[in-house]
Order: sequence, then C-alpha cells, then structure tokens
Amino acid sequence: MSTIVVTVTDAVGNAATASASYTVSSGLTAPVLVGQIQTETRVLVTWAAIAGATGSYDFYRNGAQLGNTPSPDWLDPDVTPGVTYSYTARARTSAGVFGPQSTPLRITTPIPPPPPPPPPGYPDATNTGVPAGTALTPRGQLTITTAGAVVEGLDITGGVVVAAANVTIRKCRIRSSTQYVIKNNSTGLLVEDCEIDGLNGTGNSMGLGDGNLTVRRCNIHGTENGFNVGGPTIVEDSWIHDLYTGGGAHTDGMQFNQGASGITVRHNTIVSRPGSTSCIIMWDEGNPQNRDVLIENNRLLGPGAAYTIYTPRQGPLSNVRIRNNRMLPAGYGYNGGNQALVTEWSGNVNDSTGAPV
Amino acid sequence: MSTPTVSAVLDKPSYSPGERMTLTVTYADADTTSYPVVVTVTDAAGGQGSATVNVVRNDQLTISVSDPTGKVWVPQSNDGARAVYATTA
Repeated sequence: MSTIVVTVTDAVGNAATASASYTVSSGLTAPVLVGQIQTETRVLVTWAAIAGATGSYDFYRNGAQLGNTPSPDWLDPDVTPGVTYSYTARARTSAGVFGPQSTPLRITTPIPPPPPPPPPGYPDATNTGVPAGTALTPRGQLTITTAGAVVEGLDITGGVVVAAANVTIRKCRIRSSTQYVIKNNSTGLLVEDCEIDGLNGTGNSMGLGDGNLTVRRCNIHGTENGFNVGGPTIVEDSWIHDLYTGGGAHTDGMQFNQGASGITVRHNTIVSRPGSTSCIIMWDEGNPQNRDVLIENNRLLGPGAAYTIYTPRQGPLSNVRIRNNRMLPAGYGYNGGNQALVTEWSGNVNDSTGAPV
Repeated sequence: MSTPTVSAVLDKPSYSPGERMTLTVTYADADTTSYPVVVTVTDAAGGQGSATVNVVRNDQLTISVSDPTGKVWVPQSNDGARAVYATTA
C-alpha cells in the first residue's frame, strides 16, 4: 500500500496536509518453491514460472535477499551441512510491481557421513615400532663395526652408523637430530621393530639411508625424509608419518636417488603432513633413472603434500611397478610425474572411496 | 492568518497495473484580501459621481502532491476549491 500526501500552503507558509492510500495489484501469484539438495553444500530451489512475471524473481534466504533471477530457479552453492535454511521468492513485473512472497521453503542440509575408518591391518601406532613391554637400555651414539652383529633392546640417543655387513638392529628406539638417524655404510642391514625419531631436526635429515637395507615394522617420524634411497632397499609394514616440514624442508616419505634400483616398498603407511612434498618421490633429473622398483599395497596419504607420489617426467624407466596402493590425492593430484612412463600402474584406488586412481 | 483546509480522495482504493488513477483535492482558506474598487461616472457636461465597492479575493494557495512510489501526479483541473490530478497505476 502506498500513501499520497497532499499539502496546501498559503502565501505566508501556513500549511495543511491530507493523505490518501492505494494499492496497485500486480496480478502475480506467489511462487511455490520446491527444493532439491544436490550435495551437503548445494541446494537447488525451483518453482513454476509465474504468469505476468515479466521482470524477474527476487530470491531470499532466511529473509535476506540473495539476488534476482530471470528464470524460476536458484542454485544456492554455499550452504553449511546440517543447517536449516528458509527460502522464499517473489515475482515482479517489468514495471517493478511485486507479487506476493512465497510460503517459506525450509530445507535442512544433510550432515555428510563420517569418513570410513582406515582399513584394518595397515601399519600404524599399534603395530610398528618397539613392541610394548620391551625393556630398553639407554646408550649414546653407536657405530657398529662387527659383521653380523645383532643390536637389540637399546634406547639410543645420537644415531647409529653401520660400518659392517649383515647387521641386525631390532626392537630399539633411536633418536637423533643428526643428518641420519641410521646410516648404513655397508650391506645387508636389517632393521626391525624400531622407532626412528629425527627429533624434528633440520638440515636434510634422514630416517634411514642410503641403501642395502631391509626395514620392517618400523615407526619413523621427526625427520625431513623418512628414507634416502641410494641403493637396494626393502621397506615393509612400516609407518612413516609426522615428518619435519619446517625451515624450507623438502619433505618426502621416501626419496629415491639417481640410478637407485632394486627398491621394494610394500604394505606401508606413509602420511604426508601439510607442507610436505610427497609420500614417495622418485629421481626426476638426468639418467640413469630408477629401475626395478615395486611399490605395492601401501597406504599413501598425500592430502598435506604437493604430490602423493612423483614418478619421473623423463625416461627411460625400467621395471617400475606401482600397484594396488590405497591413495589420497595431494594438492597437485596423485602423481606429479609422467605416469605413461611407468611400467605398471594398476589397482591403485582412492583410500576413502575405493575409486580407481 | 488562518491555516488552510484540505482533503484528498482517490477514485478507487486499488488499481491494476496501467489503470488510470484520479486524485481529487478539495481545499479552502478562510483568509481573504479586500480590494476597494472606485466606480466613477461622468456625464457629457463633465459632472461626475462615484461609488466605492470592496472586492474580496481568497488568498492564493499552493498545492503539492507527494507519492512515495515516485509516480508523477499530473494536474487536470483546478477551480480554486477543487483540484484534480491523475496518473497511471
């Protein structure tokens, strides 16, 4: 309703007013809204076109106008899961006369289901590292020079250097902020059921390196790189996580050096925290490239990294197989390299959905 | 000086788009101004007689119409006591 005000004024400014009110009917009817929840965060509202709505439709959410649309629909792309919204709309003529407001349409957006629990049996805190109840004897930095030595049950601060063949390190906690927590300078090293802690040390720190070693059921964290792989390496049933990412670190769960070969990475969990580069990064510069590489049945969780895995962008590659892994994509996707060069890429799936990767 | 009086009446309370709307304003003012008019009669010999008449005129009033919708109300007529305006709904 509009009200006209009439004012009569005499020559000296005495005034009197009168008013008269009127309405202009639009001839429009109220839209009847229908909602469709497209996702937890997107709602589509539609209605039948209103005869005479030669202007547009004004659209409202919770009483606040979101905008206007010439077509009888509105996509609200930015709603919050688990919240109830009230939508209304009204038509108007090209002369700007509004029709009545629609009856509110109330829509409650769904709450997405929680992510599925991690698949059982993959390495985590419960099945890696020093077994519970193991008695540990403290000691300082250790250099092993006896071939075939077995080191067991130690709590080592300061790192280990292996300078003899066929050494076994078992059920030990090894903490060091030096460049390597365990540095193998020989062959045949076996590391089992150990915790490898880099203490968030800076300076390109490595959990283990540089090859000629087998690692099983180890809990590796606090280094910039879990592994520096310079030669034959087998890593199985281990958990690589919470690596150091500060101070310009180039953090990778495993990094393969130029020409490294004979590498098996099987049934591990490698988690990249924010600021990491990758779960696994292969050599990506000049030849020789990596060869005889098998990466299978791992959980490679890359959401915090740039890449989940990085295969080389140039070949030739020889016998590089990446299969049956569960992955979560990183910022730039699952693979930052040239996947076509890989000998086999099969059976890899999204860890959450099971969709092929 | 006294205050004018005014009333405003629309021909209908509700209109359809495009329909003609008519507003009638009835107004008045009690104040007047008297103007003496002297009438002089002169014969052929030059004899004269005169009389004075007082003419009374209502004070001039100004009418304004304000519509919050922005419609322009166009004057149609005004006889000094009643003014008619029109516009389109």
